[in-house]
Amino acid sequence: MDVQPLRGVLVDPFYYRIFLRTLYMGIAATVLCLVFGYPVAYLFTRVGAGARKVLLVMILAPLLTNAIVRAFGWMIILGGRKGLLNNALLTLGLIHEPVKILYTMPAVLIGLTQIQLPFMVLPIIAMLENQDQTLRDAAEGLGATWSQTFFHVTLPLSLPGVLTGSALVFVISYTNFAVPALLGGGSFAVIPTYIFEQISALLEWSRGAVLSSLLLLTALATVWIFNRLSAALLPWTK
Amino acid sequence: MDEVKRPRGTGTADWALRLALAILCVTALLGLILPSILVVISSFNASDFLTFPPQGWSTRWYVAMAQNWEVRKSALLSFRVALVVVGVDILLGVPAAFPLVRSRLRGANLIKSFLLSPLMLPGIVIGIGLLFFYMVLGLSLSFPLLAASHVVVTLPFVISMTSARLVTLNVALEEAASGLGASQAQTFFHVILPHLWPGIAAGAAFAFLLSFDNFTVSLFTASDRLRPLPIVLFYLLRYDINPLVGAVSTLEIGLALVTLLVGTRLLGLGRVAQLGRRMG
Repeated sequence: MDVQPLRGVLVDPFYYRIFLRTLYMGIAATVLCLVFGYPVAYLFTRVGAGARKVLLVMILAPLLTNAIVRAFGWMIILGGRKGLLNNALLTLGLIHEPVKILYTMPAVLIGLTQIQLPFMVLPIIAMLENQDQTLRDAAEGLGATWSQTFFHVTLPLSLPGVLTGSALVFVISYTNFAVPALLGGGSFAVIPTYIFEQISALLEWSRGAVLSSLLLLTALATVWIFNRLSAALLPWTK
Repeated sequence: MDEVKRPRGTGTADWALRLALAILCVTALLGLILPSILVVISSFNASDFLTFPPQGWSTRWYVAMAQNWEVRKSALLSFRVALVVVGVDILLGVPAAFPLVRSRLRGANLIKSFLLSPLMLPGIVIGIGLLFFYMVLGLSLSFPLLAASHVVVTLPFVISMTSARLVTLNVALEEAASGLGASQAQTFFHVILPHLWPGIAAGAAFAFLLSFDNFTVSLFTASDRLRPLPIVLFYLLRYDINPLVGAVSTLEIGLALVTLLVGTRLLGLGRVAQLGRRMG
């Protein structure tokens, strides 16, 4: 048993920084997915059958297109001085110089959010669908305003779906390779892109193996902590 | 409807919240579909760079795509891999669904989670794991190994979509068939298979798409000489934006929409959504 590659990774502060950045990427993408995904799920449960079909296709279609294609779409929007976003902002006079978005962390987060959004939306829809309408009626009958009902009844009752979706989105974002590699650019280092570089370009197989094991372990540990937290905070979900 | 039966007027806080939710919702939906629409528009762009809005229209990138030897070769490879993968998936997945759905064995649930586990594991970990596994066995990367790697990640879809139909098959029908003197083979081909086929077909369609589109597992299990289409597209975009990718991507978006329609026709949108929840 050779533990040298493992020790090499564990004592080097470089790896802590890159692990932290990867963790940040995973958590930030999860929060963004929640913020944008919840309203979509909510809308889905409040519209008729026809609109539901359209919404579901909109949610599922990106899921079925290849990661490279989706990243390419964002490259068109965010890319360079001639990208759509820069053009729009310049035309509107909101900025005077093109801003650099592609090949930065925000670009990676935007791409991840779009790609993982379905994983957040679908479990929340499942939870909202099962909600008892009479509970909301009761709240309103007792004089609660719409927003009070939302924050005190609808949202808390859907938390198990939120947690399922969050765990899913976190793991997929935390271990994603294609989005940081394309939207982050050639020098953007998170664990998945770093592993690929170690294995394919530098042929550092053992370091690649150590890092991917640590990636899997930390992902599973986060999900486990997550589940424990939700079990402790939401006793009724058990 | 909601609005009508409420006697009170809604407060400012309510409107603020509704507005915030609506803005987030519209942004999210735009963000979901806008990139794909822009990919399609950009593929007909006439200029050498991707400028938006396009300065002129042409099909030059489709011509460039058809003339690009590497893209053609890799598309053909991806197509061949996906066909082999679908065949193997059906041969392994359909028989596997029976004991998983019907056996009362204590271990059945464990076996089920094991067979479906590739859905839960990150693609990069599966790719590296397979690569190391092949190395330990002393195998060099080849077409059969690439197809085998894709089978690992697509088989769960065929198993679970076949199972979804199998659950709804009434055992009494099979008993009736054999009671009327049908052989096991006759029962299978005349009773069981006609009931299962929408599940098998939808599973096959998804398996085809997921193999044809697979990137992360191929990244580690495809050799330099055997590059599937997504890997070639990745290298075309890695350090630069190549407009040729737009033409290929448009065809891929078309393929995805067709698969979604086929899956929906065969199994219903709800069932497809359930599976969508597990695609990584």
